[in-house]
Amino acid sequence: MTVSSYLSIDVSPQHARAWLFENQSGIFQLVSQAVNPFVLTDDRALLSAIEQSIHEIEKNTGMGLLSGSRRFQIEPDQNIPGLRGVGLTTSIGKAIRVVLVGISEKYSLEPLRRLARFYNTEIVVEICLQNEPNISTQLHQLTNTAFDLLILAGGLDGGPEKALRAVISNLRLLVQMWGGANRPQIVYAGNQSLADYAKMEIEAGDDLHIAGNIQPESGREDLSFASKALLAAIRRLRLKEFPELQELADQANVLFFPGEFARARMDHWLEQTQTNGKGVLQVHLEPDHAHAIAVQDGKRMGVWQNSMVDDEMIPAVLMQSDQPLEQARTAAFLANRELHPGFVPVTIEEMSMEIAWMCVRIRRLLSEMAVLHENFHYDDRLGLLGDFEPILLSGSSFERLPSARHMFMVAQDGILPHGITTLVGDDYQLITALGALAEFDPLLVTQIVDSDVFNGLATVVNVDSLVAAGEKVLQLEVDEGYGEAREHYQVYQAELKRFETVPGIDLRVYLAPEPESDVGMGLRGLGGWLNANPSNLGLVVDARGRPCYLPVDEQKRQEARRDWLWNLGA
Amino acid sequence: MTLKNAIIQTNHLLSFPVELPVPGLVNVHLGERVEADDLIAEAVLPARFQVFDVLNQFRLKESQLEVCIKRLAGEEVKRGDVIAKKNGLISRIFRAPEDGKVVAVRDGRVTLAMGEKTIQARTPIAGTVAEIIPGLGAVIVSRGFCVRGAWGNGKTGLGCLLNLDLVNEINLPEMKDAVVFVDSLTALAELKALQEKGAAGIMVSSLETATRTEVEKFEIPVMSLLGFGEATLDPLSQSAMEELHGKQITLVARKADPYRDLKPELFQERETDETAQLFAEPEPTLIGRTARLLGQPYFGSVGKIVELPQEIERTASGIQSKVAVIEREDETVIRVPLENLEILTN
Repeated sequence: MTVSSYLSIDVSPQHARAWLFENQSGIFQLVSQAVNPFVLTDDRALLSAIEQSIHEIEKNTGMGLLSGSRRFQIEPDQNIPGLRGVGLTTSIGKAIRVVLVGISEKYSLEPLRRLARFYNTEIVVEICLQNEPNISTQLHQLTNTAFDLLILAGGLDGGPEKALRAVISNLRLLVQMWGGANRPQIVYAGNQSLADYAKMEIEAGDDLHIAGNIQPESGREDLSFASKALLAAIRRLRLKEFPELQELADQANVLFFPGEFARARMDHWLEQTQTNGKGVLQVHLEPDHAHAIAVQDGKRMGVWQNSMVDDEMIPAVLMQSDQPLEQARTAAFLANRELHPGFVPVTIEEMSMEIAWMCVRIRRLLSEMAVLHENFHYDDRLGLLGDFEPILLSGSSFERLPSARHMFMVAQDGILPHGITTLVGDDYQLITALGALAEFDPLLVTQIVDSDVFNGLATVVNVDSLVAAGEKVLQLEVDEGYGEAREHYQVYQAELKRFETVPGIDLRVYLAPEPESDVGMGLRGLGGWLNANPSNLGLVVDARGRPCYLPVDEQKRQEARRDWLWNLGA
Repeated sequence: MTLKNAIIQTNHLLSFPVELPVPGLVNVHLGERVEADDLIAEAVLPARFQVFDVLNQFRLKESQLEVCIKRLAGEEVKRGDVIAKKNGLISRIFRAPEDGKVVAVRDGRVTLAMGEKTIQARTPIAGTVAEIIPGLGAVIVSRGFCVRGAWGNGKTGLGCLLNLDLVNEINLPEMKDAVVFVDSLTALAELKALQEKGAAGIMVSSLETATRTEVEKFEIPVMSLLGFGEATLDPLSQSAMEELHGKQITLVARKADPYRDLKPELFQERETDETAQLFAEPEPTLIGRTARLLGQPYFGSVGKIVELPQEIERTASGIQSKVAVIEREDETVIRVPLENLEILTN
C-alpha cells in the first residue's frame, strides 16, 4: 500500500503547531509533531514560526514537506508515497466587528447572533427592521459604524420583500462609498427570492456571500448554508489581516479554516459516530479566549468569548479559590495576568487564583452559550443540565496544568455536569488538526481517534440529592476485575470520591443510590451497572450536589476545596 | 522563550498606525515627514441621509416612475429643489429639505445625502510615513529612546516630563501641560487631581486595580509601567525617568497587545546614526542580561540572568516550565520561569 501523509498546521495566539499523520501499515498514525512559541513582532514572525514547526517535522521524519519557495511538496500521484494534503487552521486575529441586520428579533437577529458568536466576533450594531423601519436612519447607522462583516437575513422564501430590498439598496451605496479596498464582507441569508437581486444590486464581487435562507419556511431554522457563507467571509477577513498566510492557503490541496470550525467538525463527527445518544461538549481554553462547542442531535452550538477581567470576576474567583486570598492581590493578579498571557503561576496562592479563574471563565462561557442557544441548558449554579458525553477539554490553558486532577477540578467545577459522563483531555491538541484534515480522508480521523490519542481523564458519576451534607447518598459495589470479590463503598453528601482504574481493565460498578439521589439513570433512586473505562483518575463520584455544596464559612469552604483536590490523589 | 523587545531601548523604532474608523482619503505620502497633530487622513461623510420612496409615497406604478423623478444620481441639489413630482388634480412634490446631493436613485427610491461631517485622523507623534493603509490612514514611524509600560488607557499625548513627589508637589504650577510621573502605587483620587491640574499625561509605576475602568475614561493618556498592585520600580527605569526629567516626550499609552509585543510606551525622538540592517541580528544570549520579574513576591524587582538550564523544571505550584537562574540585587539566587521575565535593557 502506498504511504499517504497529511500535514496539519494550527496557529494559536502563542504557538504554531504542526502534526504529520501517515498510513504506513494501512493504519493512520501520528508520526511527528512540533510546537513553536511565537510573538507577532513583525510580518515574518508568523511564517517563520510555521516554517520552524514544519522543518522540525521534516528533521524528525526525513520527509520533504515545504520547499524553499514555501510550496508544500504535495504528491498528486496516489501511487507514489508522499504528502497528499495540508490543513491550515488559525485562531489568531482581532475580534471581527459585525453588523447584524434582520427583519425580526426572534426569527432573524437571534439566529444571526448564534451564527456570528461562534467565531471571534464583536457585534457592533444590530438593526431590527421591524423596530427601525426608517430607511434613512438605517443608512445613517451603517455609514457611521466601523465594521468588517455584515450579515443580512429575514423573511421567508417567497415572502414580503420591501424591507429587505431597501437594506440591499443601502448596502449598494455603502459599498460604493467605502471603495474596493475597504469593502466589508457581506453575507446575505434572507428571502431567497431576493438572492439574485442582492448579488446584482450590491456588486461586491467576492466580498458578497449569498447563502440559503436561515428561515426558509415558518418555524424552521436552518443555519447550515449561512454557516458556510460565513466561513468563507471569515476566511477572507483573516487572509486580509494576515496576508502572509495567503501564499500557503492558496496552494492546491491546502484547506484553510478558523481553528474553531475544525474543532466543531470533529465534535460533529464524534457525536454522529457514538452510540450513547448523548451530545458532545468541548471546552477550549486559551489564556486570551475561551470557546465552547456543543453538538446535540446533529445540531451545532458554539460561542467564543475573549477573556475579560471585570469587577464581577474578582469576587467570583475569590469564592472559587481554595486558598485564603486578599481581594486587592487577587484583583492585581488577574489584571496583570491579562497583560502577560504567558505568565506561569509559581506559588500555591497564584495557582489557586489561576485555577479559580479558569473555572469562572468556563461558567461565563457556558452561561453565554445558554443565552444564545435555548437548547443548551446551563445555569452557573445548577450546572450543565443536558446529557453530554464525552466532555472534551482542549487548549493551552488546560495543557499546562500540572496534573490530571487539576484539569479535572477546573472542568468539573466550571461545567458542573449532571448524571454520568466522561471527561477527556486533548493532550496533543489534536482535535483541531484532525478537524482540518477530515475532508481529505475520513479514515484518518477514525483511526487516529481509535488509537487512544485522547487522554481519558475520568468517568464521573454526579449525584444530585437534596439531603444534608454528611448523609449517605449512594452505595457502590465495585468489581475491580480480580475474581469474584467485590468491594462495597458508601458515598456521603458533599463528598468527592475517586476509584482508581487499572490500565487495560474496565471497572464494573453497581450504583445503588438512596431513594432521593439521582445518578443519571433516569429517576431518583434508580441505580444500575456502570462500566468505567481505564482513565487517568478512574471513576470519580461527585456527591457535592447541584448547586455544589459549599460551607458558608470562608475558611471551611477553602478547606473543603483543598480536601476535594486531595481526594483525587495528591 | 520567544524574545520580546527590551523594556528600555535606546534605538527603538516606534511604529504607530493612524487610521480613520471609516474609509476616506489619505492625505500623506510614503516617506513624508509629519509632525505631531498633522492630518493623516480625512473622511467627509454626509451628516444625514434621506431616502424617499417615490413609488410608495406617491402610489405610482413602476411605468410612471421615470417621468416623476426629476433628478439623477450624482446631481447636486439646493434646498427646495424638486426631486420628484407626481402630476395630477392635486400634484404631489418631494423637495430637497437641505442642500445636498442625490446619491442613489434605485428601485423607486431616491437617496439624498445632506450636510457634511468630517472625521479626521491626526498623528499624535512626529515621524515618517512608513506605510499607507489604503483609504484609512498611514503607519508613522520614529526612532528614539523608549521605556515600555505594561498598561495604557488607549490615549496619546505630548509634554515635558515632570517627576513628581505626590506628597509634597501636587500643586506645582509647572504641572500644567506636563507629562507627570509618579513613582508609587497611585490611587484614583490622586490621578483625578493630576488631570484636573492640567497634566498632559500621567505615568505611574503601578496602578490600583480598582481604578482601571475609571482611568480608561480619562481624556489624557495614562500609563502604568509595571501594571497593577504593589510593586517597586527598578533602579534602571527610575534613572531613565530622572534622565528624561524636563525633556519633551511623547506618552503613547496605547492598549497592550501581548501577542504582537505591542506595549504602551514613553517615547523620545532622537537622532541616530544607525541605519536599519539588511539582515536580522542574531538573537543575543540571555545570560548576563538584566531582567525584571513578574509575579509575587518579586514583582518589579530585577536581577541578572546567570544560568539557563536546558531541562524543564517543576515550580512550587506544580507547573513545569523552562527557568532562568537569576541573581538578584541582594545576591540571592532564585529560579524563575522564563515567561515570568522581562528583559530590561538591550
